[in-house]
Amino acid sequence: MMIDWAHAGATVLASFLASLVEFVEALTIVLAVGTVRGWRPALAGALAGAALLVALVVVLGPLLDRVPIAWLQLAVGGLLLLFGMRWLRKAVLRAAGIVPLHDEVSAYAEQTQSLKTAGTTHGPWDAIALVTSFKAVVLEGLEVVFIVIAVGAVGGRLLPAAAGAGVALLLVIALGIALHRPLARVPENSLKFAVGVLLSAFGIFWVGEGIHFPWPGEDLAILGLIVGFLAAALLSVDLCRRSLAARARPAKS
Amino acid sequence: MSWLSAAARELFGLFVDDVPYTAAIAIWVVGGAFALPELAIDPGWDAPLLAAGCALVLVVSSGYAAFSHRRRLATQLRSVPMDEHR
Repeated sequence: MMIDWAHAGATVLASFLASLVEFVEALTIVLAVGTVRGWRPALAGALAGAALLVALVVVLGPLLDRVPIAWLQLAVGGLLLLFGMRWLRKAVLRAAGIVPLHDEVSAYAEQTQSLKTAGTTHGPWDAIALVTSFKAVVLEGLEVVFIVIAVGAVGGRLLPAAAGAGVALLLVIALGIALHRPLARVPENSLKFAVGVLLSAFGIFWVGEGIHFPWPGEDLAILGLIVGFLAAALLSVDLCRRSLAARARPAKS
Repeated sequence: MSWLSAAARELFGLFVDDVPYTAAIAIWVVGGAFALPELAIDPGWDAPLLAAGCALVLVVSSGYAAFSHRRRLATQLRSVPMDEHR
C-alpha cells in the first residue's frame, strides 16, 4: 500500500510540475497572440492544438498496450531518462549562472514585437495568429503528452498522471484569465530542476526493470533514486559555482 | 518536406540538447546493461550502479560545461585590451 502511494504520488507530482512548466510557456505565447492580434484566432488556434494532442493520446495510448511490457519499460524508460537528464543538466547550468534563466516577461515582449511586425493576412481568420497559437500549444503540449504517457503508461498509472497534468492546465488557465499577463513569478528553473530529478529517477527505474536488473526495495527504490539524482544535481550546481568563482577571484586582484 | 524536417528536429530536441552528454548516457546505459552482469559483484548492485553512472555523467558534464564557460570568459577578457589598442 505504502509502495503504491509513493509511486503514484511521484507520478502525479512529476506530471503536475512538468505540465505546469510547459503550460506556462504556452500561455505566454497565446496571451501575446490574443493581445496583439485578437482573442478569436488565439483561442481557436489553442483549441485546435489541444484537439490534436487529445487525438494523439487517443490514437497512441491503446497502441502501447500491445507492446510487450519489458520492451515498453526499456523504450519509455530510455526516452524518459534522456528527457529528464536533459532538463536536469539545463536546470543545473541555469542555477549555476552558466546559462541565462528563462524569462517569461522578455519572451512575451519578443513575441508581441514579432506579432506586431508580422503584417496582416486576408480572409475572415488571422492565419498568422491562428498558426502561432496552434504551434505554441502543440509544441509545448507534445512534451506534456510524452511525460504523461511515459510516467503513467508503464506503471499502469495513466489516470493519476493525466490528473496531474489536468490540474496544472486548469491552474494555468485560471491564472491566465485572472492576471491577463505572463506568469513571470513561477519559479520555472526550480520546477525544471525538480521535474528533471523525478523524470531521471523514473527513467532509470524503468530501464532497470526492462533489462531485469533487480532494484533493492522494488518500487520503493524510486524514492532512493529521487534522493540520489537530487544529491548529484545539487553537487553539480555547487561544483559549477565553485569553478566560476575560482575564475572570478584572480581577475579581481 | 520542410515542415516534416522541422517536426523531426523538434522531436530530436526533446531528448538531445548536448550531443556528447546524451551519447555518454546512452553508452553507459547500453554498456552497463551488458557489462554489469558480467562483473563478479552481487547482482543486487547492478541497478544502483547503473543509476550511479548516470548521476556521475551529469556531474562530469556540468563540471565540463562550467570549465568551458570559464575558458570562454577568460578568452573574452583577454581580447578586451587588444580591442582598445585598435
